[in-house]
Amino acid sequence: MPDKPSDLVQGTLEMLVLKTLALEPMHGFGVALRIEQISNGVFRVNPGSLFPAFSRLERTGRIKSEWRSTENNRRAKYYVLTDSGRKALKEETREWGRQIAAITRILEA
Amino acid sequence: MGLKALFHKDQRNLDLDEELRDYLEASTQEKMRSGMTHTDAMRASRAEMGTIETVKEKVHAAGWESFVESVWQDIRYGLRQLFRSSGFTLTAVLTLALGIGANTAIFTLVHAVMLKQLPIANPHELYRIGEGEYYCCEWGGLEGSWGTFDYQFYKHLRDTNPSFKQLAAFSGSATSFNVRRADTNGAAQTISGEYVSGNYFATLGMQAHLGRLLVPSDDKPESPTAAVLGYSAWQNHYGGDSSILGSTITINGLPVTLVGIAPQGFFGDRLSPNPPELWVPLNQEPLFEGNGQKSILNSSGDAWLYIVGRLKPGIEPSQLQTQLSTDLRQWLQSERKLSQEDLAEIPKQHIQITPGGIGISSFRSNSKNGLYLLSAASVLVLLIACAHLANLLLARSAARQQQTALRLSLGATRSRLIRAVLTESILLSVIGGAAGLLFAYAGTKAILLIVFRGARYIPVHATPSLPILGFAMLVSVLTGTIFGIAPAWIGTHADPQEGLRGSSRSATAHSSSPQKILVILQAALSIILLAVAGLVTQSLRNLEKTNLGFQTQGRLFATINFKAAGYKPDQLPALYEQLQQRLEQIPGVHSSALSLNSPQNLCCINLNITIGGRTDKWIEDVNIIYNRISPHYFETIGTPLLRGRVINEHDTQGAQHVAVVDESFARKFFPGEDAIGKSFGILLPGHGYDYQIVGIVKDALYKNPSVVQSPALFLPFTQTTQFAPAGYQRLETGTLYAQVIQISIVGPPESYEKAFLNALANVDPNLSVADIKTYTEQVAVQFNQERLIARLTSLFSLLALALASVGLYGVTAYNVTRRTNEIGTRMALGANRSNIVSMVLRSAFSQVAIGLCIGLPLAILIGRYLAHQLYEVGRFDPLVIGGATIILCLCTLIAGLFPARRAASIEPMEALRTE
Repeated sequence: MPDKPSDLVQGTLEMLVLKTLALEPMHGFGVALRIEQISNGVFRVNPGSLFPAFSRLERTGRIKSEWRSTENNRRAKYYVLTDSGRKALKEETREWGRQIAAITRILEA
Repeated sequence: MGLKALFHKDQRNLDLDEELRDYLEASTQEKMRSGMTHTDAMRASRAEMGTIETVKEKVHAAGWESFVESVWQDIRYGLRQLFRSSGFTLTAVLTLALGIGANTAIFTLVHAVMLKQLPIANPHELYRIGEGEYYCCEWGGLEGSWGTFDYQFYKHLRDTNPSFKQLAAFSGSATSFNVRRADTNGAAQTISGEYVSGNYFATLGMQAHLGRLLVPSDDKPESPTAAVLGYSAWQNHYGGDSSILGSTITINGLPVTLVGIAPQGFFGDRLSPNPPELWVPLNQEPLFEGNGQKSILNSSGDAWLYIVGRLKPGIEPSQLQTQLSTDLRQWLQSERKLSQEDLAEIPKQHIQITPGGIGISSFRSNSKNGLYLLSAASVLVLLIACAHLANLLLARSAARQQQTALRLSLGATRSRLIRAVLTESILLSVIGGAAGLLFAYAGTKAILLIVFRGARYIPVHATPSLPILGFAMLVSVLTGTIFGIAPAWIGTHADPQEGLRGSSRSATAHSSSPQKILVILQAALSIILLAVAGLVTQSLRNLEKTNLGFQTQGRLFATINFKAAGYKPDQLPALYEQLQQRLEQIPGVHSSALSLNSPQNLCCINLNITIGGRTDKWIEDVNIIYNRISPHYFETIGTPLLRGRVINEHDTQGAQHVAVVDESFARKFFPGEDAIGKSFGILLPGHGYDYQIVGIVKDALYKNPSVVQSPALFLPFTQTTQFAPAGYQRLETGTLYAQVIQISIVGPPESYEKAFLNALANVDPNLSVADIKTYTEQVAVQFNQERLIARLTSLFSLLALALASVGLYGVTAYNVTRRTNEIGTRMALGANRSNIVSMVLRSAFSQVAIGLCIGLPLAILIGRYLAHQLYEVGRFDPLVIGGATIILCLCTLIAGLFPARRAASIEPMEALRTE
């Protein structure tokens, strides 16, 4: 059963988006769906947070957007991870790991 | 994203719209795949997303473009509002234009006089060796903090000191030259000039406009004569004729080659209304001054040169300063013959290095205080204008309370609303500032005309330069912020509920307290301005009423340079006699006279005397004004003789050498005795009995009345003494040349000008007259600065008073309107009209009274501080303070009376009926 959805911190959402796009380029809904599925429903991202995140990531050059044609011969906006995005993801993952480890230590102490 | 996004807003919008619709569709499809119906899926997706518009808004807000767009929105909205309420906008812009314009005008002056660098290359690299302004010349004395030097010391520094990239020298006083073109037969011109070292122009980094400037090879004793002419003199006197280049001109009768024209806008090394327009090499000075071996160029110990230079990179001015001082002290000890006392003073001799870029200017130090006063006054006016505008804005925001309340309840943030109001007020003030620039330009022009009245050249420009524009912009934005912030803050903190409910029946005046505070502030500032204006005007009046000790009515005088016309000292007595005879033949002329100095005009040569048979030390330290006169001087100038006799034709070289002194001279040196018959001389051993006093005249003011006057002595032109030291001899011969011819006439002096000039030309057409004017005008020119300051501060205080009165009227009228119900109620309950009037007036006066309590003590304090800069104004002048208070109260009465009478004429029934 999917757990109750909880709130995501802004910076964390961006990291998750980057990770999702690291697998393959996706359009907006695809990212939201993937995050929800993989987190087992813990994180349900609504468009009100997702699209601003896309905008921020695009500004800093971590992702770029392109219009591609879908199966139905319509066009959809796909987001692609850039090289700097890949690097940023690696760093943020590492940083996140450190933070988790630290918090865990404190809680177990 | 970014700047591109700002301009492709529509495209972006469509794209995002499409993307979100796709999202919605995909989300719906997904939900349907997990079993929901189409409708339910749609609804669920919609619910999750919120509205598309909200999402778009969130995306939009994430970027900075939204901020820029909202600011632009505010600006457009602000402009629309301003155009809609054009009456308010016009009044506000006018008020701002006056306030900002006044400040900008004063700043233009301050910038030009105090801050601006000379128009030379890299002014901040130029340093002056020495400080202080010296009027030529110091002979053999020790200056303490040195400012001028002799030629020998300059050469020593130039040749031996390794710290300077370039070192130049120029003469401390402007000399007037008689210039004439040798090739054409034009009239002789009097041009003011300066002696400069060969590298002067190179040190200042100037390029010639035409031809070339002086170079070091021009500055050797054996070099051919050369001179450089200034650009405006070239334009004004010779019509910009380029054939003058390379031609020979005669300067004081000597042929000189004009090698070049100085660049346009270059006016030398100082800010002055009569800048030098002719530059001549130092080594040619003996030729023109005619003193040969005894010329000041060759005299060791006679300081007459200013020195400026550029330092080599890496040299620290402070270190150089110490090194130069040591050098100076060594030089003095080895080169000069110093007395015991002087040797003791040696350790105190030092040289300060001061920035050279701003030039040397006594004009600056004289005007400094006046300018600061004017700046402070204009700031006060601006503050009052700000308070006034803030009040207007407060009234307006109270009127818009409903609108603001609506906005707040619809979700606008306070900060956004404050920003909107601030944008409007800054817009208003920038428009006002732009209009103010026009006022500033006109105002500055007017001020310059007054300040430099009678000057040949105005070294300050009224057209706004970049710093001025920047200043105006800065002041505008600051002003807008200052007067906008309080109303913005207060307006948006009003309770929205109250605003929406409509006007309430309030019996208290709580919501108008910020307005009251502003009125109090205006009253306080106004009284300060009024008091200052009153004090300054009083000072001016005192100056103008001073008994000058001579007659200004019916006197005409001309300034002449006899030396430049080529006369030798022995030719002078006959010339003077001829001139006087010719002038006294003109019908209507009572008498005429020549003199070296004249009161309130050219003045003064100061020196010390020694009295034969007296050894009191203090006698040597008293400065005496030294003047040379012809017969008929005192009656021409209108100074009464008190005892003895005046100079007459019998005082020739062979007769007993005589002098006339004024009463302060007699009182000071011969208290209780009769000074007539006593002898004295110039301070030099062996000269204690040179002159015998034959007459005592009344004191006259030769120097500017605001300065302490010195006792005066008068010697005849026709008697001269020999002096051994070169400096003294030079002075003696120099003073034989009269500088002023004056005539006393019947009727309007202006009608005699032509006859005067004709008579002079008849005797010698070569004589060029530098200036001819009446004494009344001359005296008026002396008080120019004081008059300007008095007029301007009075103008400012009137402006302030007008603003404060209008403000008070506005606030009182507004309060009456607001309290209409209350007034109606009171009248219905039995109050009569006069009660209402007194109620309204009482509130008006109470505000002003508080303002007075704050402002009066400040005004008195400021008055005390100013007192010692003003002329004969007491440290506490009750007349001025009292007068200012009365004027303010009168204005309050008038301003409050109209609303009060309107209040009293309210019909109670109508008042109670309005909601």
